[in-house]
Amino acid sequence: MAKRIKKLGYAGKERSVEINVPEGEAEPWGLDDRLTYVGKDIVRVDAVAKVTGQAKYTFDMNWKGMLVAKILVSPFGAGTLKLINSDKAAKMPGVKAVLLLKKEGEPVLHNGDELAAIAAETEEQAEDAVHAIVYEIEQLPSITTVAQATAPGARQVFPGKDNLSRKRHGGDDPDKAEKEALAAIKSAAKTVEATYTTEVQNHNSLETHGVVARFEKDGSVVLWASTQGTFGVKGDAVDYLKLPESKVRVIAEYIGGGFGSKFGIDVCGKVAVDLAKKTNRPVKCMLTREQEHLTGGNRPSSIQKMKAGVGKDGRITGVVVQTSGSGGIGGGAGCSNPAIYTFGKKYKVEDIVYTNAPGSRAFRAPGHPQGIFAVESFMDELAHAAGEDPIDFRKKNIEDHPFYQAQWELAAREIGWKEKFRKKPGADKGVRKRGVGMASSLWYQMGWPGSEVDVTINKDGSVYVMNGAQDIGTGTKTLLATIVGEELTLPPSSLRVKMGDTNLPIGPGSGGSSTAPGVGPAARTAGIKAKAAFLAAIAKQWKVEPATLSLVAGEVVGANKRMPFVQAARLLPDKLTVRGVRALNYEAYHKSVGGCQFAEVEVDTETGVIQVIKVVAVQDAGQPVSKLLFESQILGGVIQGLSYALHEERILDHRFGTQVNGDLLWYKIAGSVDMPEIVPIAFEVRNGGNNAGIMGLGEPPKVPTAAAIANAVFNATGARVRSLPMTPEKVLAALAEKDGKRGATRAGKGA
Amino acid sequence: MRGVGIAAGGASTAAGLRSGDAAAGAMEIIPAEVAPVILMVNGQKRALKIEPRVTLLRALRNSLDLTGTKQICDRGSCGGCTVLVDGERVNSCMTLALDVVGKKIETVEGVAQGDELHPVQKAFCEFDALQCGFCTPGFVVASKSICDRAKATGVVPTREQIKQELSGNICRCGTYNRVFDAIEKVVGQKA
Amino acid sequence: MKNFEYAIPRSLAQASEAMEVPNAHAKGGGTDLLDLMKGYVVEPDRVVHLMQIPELRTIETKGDEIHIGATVTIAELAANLKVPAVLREAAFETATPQIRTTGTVGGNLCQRPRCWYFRDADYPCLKKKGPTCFSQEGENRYHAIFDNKPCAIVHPSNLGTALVALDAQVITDKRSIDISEFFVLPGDRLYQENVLKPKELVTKVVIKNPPANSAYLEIREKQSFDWALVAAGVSLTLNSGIVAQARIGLGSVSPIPRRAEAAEKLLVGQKLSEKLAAKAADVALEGATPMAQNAYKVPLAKTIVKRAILAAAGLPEAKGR
Repeated sequence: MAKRIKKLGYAGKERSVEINVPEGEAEPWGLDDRLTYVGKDIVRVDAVAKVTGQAKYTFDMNWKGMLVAKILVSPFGAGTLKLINSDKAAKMPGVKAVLLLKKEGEPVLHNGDELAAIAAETEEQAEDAVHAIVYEIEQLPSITTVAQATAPGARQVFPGKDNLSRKRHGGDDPDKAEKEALAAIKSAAKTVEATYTTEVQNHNSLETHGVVARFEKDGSVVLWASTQGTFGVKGDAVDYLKLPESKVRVIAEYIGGGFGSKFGIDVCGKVAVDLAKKTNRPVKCMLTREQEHLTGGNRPSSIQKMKAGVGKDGRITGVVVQTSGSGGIGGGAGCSNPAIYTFGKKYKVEDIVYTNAPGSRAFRAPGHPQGIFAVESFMDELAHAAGEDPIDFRKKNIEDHPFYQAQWELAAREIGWKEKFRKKPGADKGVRKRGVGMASSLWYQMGWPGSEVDVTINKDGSVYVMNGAQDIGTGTKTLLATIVGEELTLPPSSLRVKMGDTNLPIGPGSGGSSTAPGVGPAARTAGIKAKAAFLAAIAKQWKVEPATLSLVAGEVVGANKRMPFVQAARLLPDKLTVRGVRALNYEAYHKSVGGCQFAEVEVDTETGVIQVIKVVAVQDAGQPVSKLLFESQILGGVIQGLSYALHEERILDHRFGTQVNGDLLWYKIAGSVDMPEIVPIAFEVRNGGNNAGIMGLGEPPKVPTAAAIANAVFNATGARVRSLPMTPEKVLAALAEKDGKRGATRAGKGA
Repeated sequence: MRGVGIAAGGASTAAGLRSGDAAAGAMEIIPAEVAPVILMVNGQKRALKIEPRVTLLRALRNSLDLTGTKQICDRGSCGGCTVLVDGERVNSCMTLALDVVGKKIETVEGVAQGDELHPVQKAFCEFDALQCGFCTPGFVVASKSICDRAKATGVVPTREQIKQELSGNICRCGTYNRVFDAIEKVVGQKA
Repeated sequence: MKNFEYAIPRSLAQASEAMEVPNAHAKGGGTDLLDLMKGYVVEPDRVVHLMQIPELRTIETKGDEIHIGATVTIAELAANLKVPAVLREAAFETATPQIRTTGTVGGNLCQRPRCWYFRDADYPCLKKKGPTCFSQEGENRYHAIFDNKPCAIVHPSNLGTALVALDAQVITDKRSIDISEFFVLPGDRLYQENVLKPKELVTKVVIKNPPANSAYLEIREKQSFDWALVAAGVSLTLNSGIVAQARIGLGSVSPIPRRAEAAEKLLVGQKLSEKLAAKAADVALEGATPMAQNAYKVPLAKTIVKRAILAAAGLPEAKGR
């Protein structure tokens, strides 16, 4: 451990932070450090492979002798599998094996529950054979909404287990917390109450879940998996197949999206290995698009009731939050609130409700887009009740925070808040009305030890950077190249990165926005070690002290010589490989991530159609490594957030439990014409915490978009839409409610 | 053959269609079996053996190992399978392979000329108009066709028009705005 | 999908002959048929490919008549300036560039419903000869607000709505059918959406003497590829601002593209204004019987009818989106 003082933060808000640097670790980059590649617009290192179609994903694996497997799933939400017969299917052309995944007499719990699988020579043959499996489900009425699940006498989704699981938040004494919060609200000058609902959002990665399994002659197995966790799949496969670690290899060189849904060997992986064993041939098992909706995971729905009091001084005195939601058979329906602001006395009840619906999985910032939609909409409603500007109100109700105020001011300037905020919401004359709104994001310090990165310098001067975890499209490969390139003073594009193979050094699963802060610091350590080893080897050749040599702009400099890196590499007696190991986290400028988004909308008040015109998205995540790719993540988060806000809803038939929109036609994902102008602003912070000062970025940009849009809609129209997705129907209902008319519509269910 | 007189000539005319030079005017009835077919893909004659039900997408991916074109929704709603047939954009998942015999098929693999990337591919890299990359081949092919049309007609599309042209391509990672930027750069360039 | 025999006729006569086997299905671009086949909703033993028949592929003007071949693609229709605005705009609003390149006029008119129960082979709905309509008590937010019993589909054809506003004729290999007779309500005929006899093939659409003023507008949830929530196609004959003739077609509100005859009568002889257009829109939606989840379509449809009337006349407040 060495104590160091580093100047951290960002221009205008610097702080000297005392850091205990672990043994063998580099100091983090501080404000005084000049960086050549890190923080610049570094082009994605695998861009060429992707734009030329050369990149091979799991779905693309194809070789002679491979069989294609397809899965049969239940179309209905609840019941018992009374009959399943694959005799006819087994005899169909090209069919090589059948696997039953559910036995007669076993319960069916949701649309998508797996029943059987078929391996055949061609995809068409497998599809036809699956269609030919005869089965019968004795149905029960599906429990598909929170209301159905919690009605008195409701059937239990899991026999013996209550459909409702309740958690009361309030420290050691929830009763006391509840009392105090209610009292604080009662005594306040103004009280506001509102209920917000959000619907289930399906991940819909464009590459469906899938695994290719190939057993080798020595009994080992190679799995190609569309996964966010190569080592997780390997662990599962080791357990499932009862094979030693050395006999299992998982490869995921390219992955077509995950967003939290792709962890573990999963059903398609087990099907692939089981059928590969049975047929003695490699087997590829990919989900269909419909199945991707069903078993690929989802973000739970929510119903969030909020009640708070605001004092005469504009400060919130207390808040009571009651949330419920359903992640189908999977639970996980928490909403991350109250958060960001100071709420005085707080009390929260959180209900998780089980239904006959596909199980939820972590989806980009679990709990946050829905929780922050409610919090940030509610903050605006409180501000409006208190007669305050939304930004000023937030400034009054937040603890001192190093980023938010600066970010709000930056974004407000960029979008033109002063000119565009309508002091009287809905003031615009005419049918099409404009307004602006804002919301903040938050995320956490993620990234831990458990990553190792190898760097090899070959005698021909080529440099390889290697880690066995995966780049799911976030740009991890580019991050590794940039960080190592920074240390070796070489352009990142000249390095070669290998990822996505469990034969390479260990790395994390890509969840929680923890990959970059996990592998990044390990890469820096590896780069530093590689530089030292390289210079030591050259020094030996030149017969000088290593300390007299350094790398400057791609050249070895010292001992009255300059030699380009590639030329110097030829002097190496042998290639050299070093390993960088991710150390523990240490002191940082700030231990959480902020961010904010400001949106401008135009609402057609006759049709209820919302057009988002512009979004300014300011996002911090410590040190951007490639600024270009950092901004891409921000853009991606905003677009997914917009799609969540306006279009996406998983629709279930409430009697039979079938998802009726299990496609990309009626499950509506925002497309090109729906795009606003988006201004991504990378808010660079030299943060410390780890040697590269990296914080996770993947999740925070998705969090505030829905609330920013909803708040802008209010500013534009004076109508408050409290239900996602904000369809024309709901906007018209909100307008009608504002005008005191009874709207001819349904409200959102948040089922 | 099912009871239609013309079908009796089936065998020879089936072969004729599949090689693209059927006798003019004669109807062909192709049996529900695997049979040889020739497709012109990226300037090359490719021979394959398929049934009538095989879509162009699957013929490319499963028979010709041209896996650049992706299977995403398989129902023509996402554009991930976009290829050019005689210069026009189609969803290859909703096109039977037999329907494009004798036509010029271009896939993402044919957009670059050897090692030389097409300007639109270069622009995609420069603007980072991609993330996971799974929708990228569909966007590259669609974008190439937009840029080629602009070049041929001399009409530079506006950003709104570019958005309309791409309304058949879905991206889940959220790269749209950078795709627009990439195309704008290419079409804005002077000839 | 199930395998099939593939017939490739090169003349209309051959096509008709190719259809003369049990379980044969005609195919234009295939963008609808392939979806139905992949979902095992239809399983033909023979598919008859219509795109190699030259006489079906042309758009011709003959005096004041426009003749549009059945396998003209939607993209070709959208690009042809001889085609009246309402039809061109309806074509442009259809689907995506990829689908418009492939999909045909005939295919668009003959496409099957997009009701999610209909498209699901696990749901034996009325149209598939099953016992019940699942949308009545089920998920019906996108379904019909008129004539929605016993079946509540909306006809998905944009072109149909526009052609209703043009008094078009559908020509088949057997006869000529007025557009007002072409589509059928489920109450009259359950297992198909039009009057075509089995094996009958649409060969062209004819529009006689189209009015100079016309427009087509839709309201959608998503502005990229999405189905209309409501749509309206309007054509007007104006004499110095006075309406001499009006045709109003409503889309996505009924199992057929719906003529709003009472609304048309209201406009005739009047000078157009926003007030009059709004009144006509109210009349057009009289008698709507919304279902549990689609009452929102009523005010939306009124708005789109009003706007389409104004757009057809070239008057302001013409933007539907």
